Amino acid sequence: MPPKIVKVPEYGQSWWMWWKTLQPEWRGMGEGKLSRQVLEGEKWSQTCRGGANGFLMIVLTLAWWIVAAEQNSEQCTADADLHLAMEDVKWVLDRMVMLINSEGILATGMKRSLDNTAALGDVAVKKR
Amino acid sequence: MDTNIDFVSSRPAGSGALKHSQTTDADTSATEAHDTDTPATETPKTPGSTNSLGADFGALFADSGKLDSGPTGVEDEAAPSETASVVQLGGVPLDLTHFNTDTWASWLSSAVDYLKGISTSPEWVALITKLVVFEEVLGFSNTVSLVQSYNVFRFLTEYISMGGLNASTGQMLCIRG
Repeated sequence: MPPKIVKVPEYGQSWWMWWKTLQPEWRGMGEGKLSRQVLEGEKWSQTCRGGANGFLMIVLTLAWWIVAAEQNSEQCTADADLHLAMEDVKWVLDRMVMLINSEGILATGMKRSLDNTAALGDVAVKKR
Repeated sequence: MDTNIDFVSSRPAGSGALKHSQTTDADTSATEAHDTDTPATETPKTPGSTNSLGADFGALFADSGKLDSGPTGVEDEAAPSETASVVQLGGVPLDLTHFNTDTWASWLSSAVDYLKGISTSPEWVALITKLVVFEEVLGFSNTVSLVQSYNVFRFLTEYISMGGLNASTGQMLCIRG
């Protein structure tokens, strides 16, 4: 069961703050849309994490946002933010898939190393 | 269990199972299965009809390796059963759930099922599809390699236990069909 989100716009703002902390610095942390001028050699180290505790967490929180937005349709001013979020998440997924395919990262090796990483939330807090 | 049957048929002469087929007295054979040095005076646990019944059953089941084991045989075969399992599989149980073969594919499958039910909007569906692609290229959605690894491991342990490979030197000794 998804958590009951009462204040959908606030949830959306919090989500965007979290999402931005997971992005490379060059994407920009301020207001407005995040940059899409990918720097050469970008590894997407904060988000390129598979498994149940990996990128799925981001998508799951988006799902909660969708459910909350549908249940609180009077607060639909947040819908634009939600659509932007979905679009940006998919864009990052695209970039990461391209990166993995282009560099030919061995799935098993990557999986093994990522198995030992913390969940995304922990990583965000420990960001250097 | 097949492992028990295999073990019994391959037990060395003088072990409990074979002794059962060499006697017509069930009580005596049961005792011998535990300890061949047991004094004869202890063999008939109860005198009279019980003993004769035991003799009858012993005659009936004399050629059977399993039916004449009785209650005492349960204890007798408990350890061989474990041993047989080790011998056959090199200590690896056949049960695939022993390994985490249900890890990645099952979590992704259930997660995607849940996420797909959230919305049918094209952008959401595209996002979920991309997530699956992402997990696939990372190898998180695939259990085939894990199962294959398990099968190779099982084959090797079985092969070693059969004497096909010298585990200490890694030298291949023979290949049995």
